[in-house]
Formats: sequence, structure tokens, C-alpha cells
Amino acid sequence: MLILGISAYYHDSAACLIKDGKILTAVEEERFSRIKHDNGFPHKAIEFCLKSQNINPEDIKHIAYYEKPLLKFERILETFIDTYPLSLRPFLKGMPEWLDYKIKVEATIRKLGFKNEIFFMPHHFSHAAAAFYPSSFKEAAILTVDGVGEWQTTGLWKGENKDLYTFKLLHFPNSLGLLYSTFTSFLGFKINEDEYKLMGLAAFGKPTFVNKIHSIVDIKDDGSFKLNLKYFGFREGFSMYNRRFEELFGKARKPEEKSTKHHANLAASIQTVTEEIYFKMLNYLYLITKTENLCLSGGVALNALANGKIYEKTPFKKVYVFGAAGDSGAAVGAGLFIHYNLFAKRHSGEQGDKPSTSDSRIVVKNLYFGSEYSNEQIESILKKYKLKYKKFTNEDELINKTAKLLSQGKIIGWFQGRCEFGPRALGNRSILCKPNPRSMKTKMNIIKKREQFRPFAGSILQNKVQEYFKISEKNLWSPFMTFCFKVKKDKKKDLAAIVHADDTCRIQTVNKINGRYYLLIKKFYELTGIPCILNTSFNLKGEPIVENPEQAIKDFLKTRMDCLVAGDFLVLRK
Amino acid sequence: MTKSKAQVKSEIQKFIKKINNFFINIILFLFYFLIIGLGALIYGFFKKRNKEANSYWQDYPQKELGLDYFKSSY
Repeated sequence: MLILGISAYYHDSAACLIKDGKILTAVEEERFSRIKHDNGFPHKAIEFCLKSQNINPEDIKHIAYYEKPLLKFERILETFIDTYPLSLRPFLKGMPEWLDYKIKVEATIRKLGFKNEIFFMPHHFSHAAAAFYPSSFKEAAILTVDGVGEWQTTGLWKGENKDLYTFKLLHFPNSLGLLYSTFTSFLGFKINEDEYKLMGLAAFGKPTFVNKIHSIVDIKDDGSFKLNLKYFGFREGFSMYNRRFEELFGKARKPEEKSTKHHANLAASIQTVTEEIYFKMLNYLYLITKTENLCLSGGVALNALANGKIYEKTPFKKVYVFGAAGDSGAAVGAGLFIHYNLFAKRHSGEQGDKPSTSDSRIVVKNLYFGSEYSNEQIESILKKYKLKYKKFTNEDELINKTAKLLSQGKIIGWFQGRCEFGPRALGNRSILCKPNPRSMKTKMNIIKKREQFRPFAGSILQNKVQEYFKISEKNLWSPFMTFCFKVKKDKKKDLAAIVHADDTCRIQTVNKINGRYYLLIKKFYELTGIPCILNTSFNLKGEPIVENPEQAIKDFLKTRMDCLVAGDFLVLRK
Repeated sequence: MTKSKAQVKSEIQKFIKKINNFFINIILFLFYFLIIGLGALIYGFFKKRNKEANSYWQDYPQKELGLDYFKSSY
């Protein structure tokens, strides 16, 4: 049974194709449209899903849309009413968009030739499903927490085999995601995009504004909370905060303005309050579910700094965060929910679908679900750009050479296999270098044109992770870069370019499943004795991660990367 | 320099679009003040007042969610 999952019209639109519970393809629209966090309808992503599997719209049995558009529209209308007459401007801007296309999702899908059933999953159902079904847990507590879906902003759930049970929820406007985004915007960063920058900045400050933040958010011991709306502007205007907010926290930072200690203190404060709410929620979730397994989803679940402290601050022993925890992953969740939950119910009950062949769930161990290019395709592009390259017919030789270049301090554009799904480059569309000395960070930041305060992530061999990081579990599996852990004191020098100001590092554990990337890090370890490399996404400032070899070559030529390894080819900069 | 036919056509289209948007905005403006305004008045009467609570969690409506629920966009 083929299911097409779709998410659109908020941020990170995406499409995926699922067959009998297995994700065949999943990709964000931004990779093709080249608009970062593209929120349009994912026409190109859907086209890719169909073409890559050589199927037609009529072959799709069910379509799963990741939210209920009419319910969302109801929330928007009610908010206009509640904030009358202040919401005139957003009303004039938002209404034509809603009436023109956002409300007509079904018609848009039908226009593409899909004739079969369309399901509209509630937004947080999609998140919960994306968190639980790809995990290896038979039973787990689930927390979904994001900006907002239709009405819901937070959900406490339990997953058992193929069932999801809902317990508690919070509604708009009480949203942890929106609270964090308000500070993101206040500090001059883009919302739904630059939350990572705020997280990075937090390490340089002290949480001196915590009491003030408590005065605008009432937090209960069970993690539920309520925003004091007098300070927020996101319901009635285009700004997340208002004049009262500025009176309380000082003047907002302009995007071009330099970050000061004051800004870092604000970042540290909101990170502290976010963690306070997060851990209170999780402890309450544990109380009502009594299971030591935890699954997380929703945009807030990408707060790797908070995730890294879960083992220490809550009773949960095992934590799974689906790598695409944001709205793109909700397309996958919607599809998986149909397969595991609705379809299972159908074949045991009334209608005529055939039963699924397998009762067990399929664990998602990597996110390489996107496009792939052959050596022939890559070579033709290299020729088009008249680049001198060497082709390696032996994989060992390619790995040896690349690892040697890394060990010599070269910065390498690494383009291999299928594109990653989700916000992180996990070793197929990455820019790599060795994790020390500290100057490697500066060098990489210049190439990526990033702010110097932002940290880089590391990819480390899974069986070596405990030697380098303070973690609770030997051989910890964290393949999607969704956790930050403290680096051990004696290893800080080895990882000098990726240790952040608070001694943490966001990590990706790598094992054989990662294929060529694993071989590269293993070889690098043999050469240097360090089982870790710096890994950042293959893109330049403001653009999405590269999707095809031509984009990779263009970025290579635009920057001071030393080499490009694309497929079996090595290009050295002269 | 004289404008080509295509340029003139494009400019006319832009002008018509502007007029369209202008009228749409007027209609929306009236709708906002009359209908949304009336809605706000009624909403004000029925709006739940905030109560002091020990918890802000809401219970999930415990109802069986059938296929029809998931097929509906509401």
C-alpha cells in the first residue's frame, strides 16, 4: 500500500512516500525550489517522490495531509475576533491567502491527478506519529511541542505498539515554541529559522532575566503554563512582541547589530526558562505514563541543548528524537499514522483493504531519503564546469585519500549518496574538516559566512562516543544530531573546533549504517587517533542544503573549500 | 523608445491586478469592521473568563476517532 504524506503552508513543506510502513522517499520542497524553509505547496517534492519510484498518482492508495486546514482557519478567524480591532492588518494580508489557496488543500491535491482518499491528520497526531512509529520502542511516552498546529501547541501522549493514546494538551496561544520564537525575533534573528542561533548565543550569557520572564509566563509544577498576552504581539500583528515587552527587556536587537552581553544574557535566560518548562513537562509525562522510553517531536524537540539534559533531569532512560522533528517530518508522521493505525483498524474491521504483511514496525535508523546522483551524472557536471578531477575506481583509495586530506587540515565538500531528510546534514551533503585546532572553526565560519559565536557539530564513531562525551549510556545511539552533550575535560583539546563555550557539542553518532561516511571517519581515526570530525551542512548562508552536484560545485567554487569529493570523484583546488 | 505589445499588455495586467487588490481590500475592510466586529461583540459576552488554576493542562476529548474524522479537513 502506497501512501503519500504532505506538509505545507507553514514552514518546511515536504512530501514523502511510504510503502507498507517503509519510508521510500522523503524530501523538503526547499531542496528543489532553493527557497530556504519553503512553505509553498510541495509540488516539486511530490513530483520527485513519484518519479524516483517510477509511479503515477493513481498508484497512490492514500494521501495523508499533516493537519486539518479548516480547523486551523477556525483558530485564525477566532484570533481575529478576539483581537479586534487591532488585527486589521494581518486580516487584510492573511485572508486573501487563506481564501485563495490555503483552505483549498484538497482541490490542490486533486489537480495533481490523485483520485484516492485524502486524510487530514490533526497536526499534533502527525508529530506524535513521526516521533513514535520510527522508534524501536514498543511502548513510549511521547511529547509533542511546537509553535502551533491547528489549535494545539503541546501534547502528552503514550504510544503502544501501533496505537497512540492522548492524555493532555495545551492550546494556542500558550505555546513554548512561540515563546522561544518571540525571543528569537527580539534578538534580531529570523523566526522558524534562526532558533539555533539563539541556542548558540545562550552559552555566552548568564540567565539574569529569568525572573522577568517568569513575570510574563506563569509556569505550573506540572509543566503547563500560560503566557501573559499583554507582552506578546503575535496574535494581532506581524511582530512577535510589543512595546511592553521592550519596556521589560530593553530595546530589541536589529539584525545587523552586533550581539552584546545583554543579548547573550537574554538568550541564556529564555533557554533556561524553556528547559525549566520542558523538564517539568517531561517529569509530569513520566508520572502519567510510567514508561522509561521517550519520543519527542515538534520544532521545540530540535532544541538539542535541552535534549542533552533529559537523561540527567528526568527519569527517562531512552530517548528517541526523529531527526526531522519539525513540520517536514509531520508529513512522514501523517503517512505512518495511516499505515499503522488507521489501516490496521480498517483491515480488522469494516472495509476491504488487504491486511498488512508485517505486524512489527520499521525502525528508522537513517534519514537518507532524498535524491541521489550517479557517477556519470556527477562527471558530466564536472566536465561542464571544466574542473580537473580524479576518479577513484577503488573505494578504499578514495576514503584513504580523503581521510588524509582531512588529517592535513583541509576543508572538504562531501557529496555522496542520497540527500538527507530534515534540517541536518548527516554526512551525505556535508562540509567536513578535522575537529581541532580551534582555528578550524574560524576557517569554517568564514567559508560558511556564519556568525563566529555559532558552534559546529561533530560526527563521532558510535563505539567511541563515551570516551569523549559525558553520557549516561555506553554506545549511545544519536544518529540525527538532536542532542548536545558535555565534552570530557581531557578531550576538549582534541575537539577544540567543535566544543562550544558551555563545553557542549551537538553530536551525530556514526556506525556502519552510514556507509561511506562511516568508513571515512574510521579511516580518519586510524590516521589521527581521533574518532570524530567537524560536520556542517553543505550550503552557504541563506541557501538550503545542496541537492544536486551542480549546486555543490557552485558552492565549492564560490568559497575557499580545499577539495570536493562528489561520488567517486575528487576535485582539488589549485 | 516605444513599448512593445507584450510590455503594454503586462502593464495593463499589473494595473488591473492593482485595481482588483484595491477592491478586495475594501471588501475585506468592510467585512472586518462589520462582521468580525459583530463577532467580537458577541464573543466578548460568551468568552470564558480566566480562572485561577493549579494546572493549565486540558484533557483530551475522549471520543472514538473514526475514519470520517480523519477524512474531514475540520
